[in-house]
Amino acid sequence: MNEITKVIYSKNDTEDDEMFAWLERKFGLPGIARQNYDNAIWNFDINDDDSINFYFKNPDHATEFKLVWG
Amino acid sequence: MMQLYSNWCGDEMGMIYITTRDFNNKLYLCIREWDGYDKPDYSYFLELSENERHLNDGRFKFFTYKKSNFKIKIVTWKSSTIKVKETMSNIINWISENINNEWSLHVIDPNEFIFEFHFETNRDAINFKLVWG
Repeated sequence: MNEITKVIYSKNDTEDDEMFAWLERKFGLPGIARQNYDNAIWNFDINDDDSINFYFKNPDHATEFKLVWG
Repeated sequence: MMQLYSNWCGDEMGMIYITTRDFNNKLYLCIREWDGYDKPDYSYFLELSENERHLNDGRFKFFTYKKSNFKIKIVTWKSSTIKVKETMSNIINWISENINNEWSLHVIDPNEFIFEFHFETNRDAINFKLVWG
């Protein structure tokens, strides 16, 4: 888990579809199968307040995500 | 008894599982818990229509009891039975309208009404997670 970089994103319905499409193009499908995120390139959780936690295995991916969508 | 066991969808031990059962002249999806000694306990959490009795029609047309790697855990609240029923009803309705591949439902913790939804495809699991968190 130490390798995972977490990015919290405030949900914005108008951008969500584009954002997930971008993530999928860049990094493939999220690691849905892995509850503990180990080995997944990226994953996400939706919080009760509708913000989204994104997790990236590679910190460079997190940085790129933040640059584009942050 | 034959009818009860024909509908069960349980864990490997067969002690806790999803089943359908009549109660007060209505048909329900419920969790059956049995310790092997006393009478089984039933927790009713979703009213079903008659064609859903065998979990192979209606909203359960694509339901197939089996485990998958593409799984999403859902925590409901036993403190509010109404909330559990409402949540599960909304989820099952959404699945019936949006999932066209096999899916499955497993009981993780019957005391806290924690379920795990399993999907045949990663895509279905992602779509489910985007809606239900």
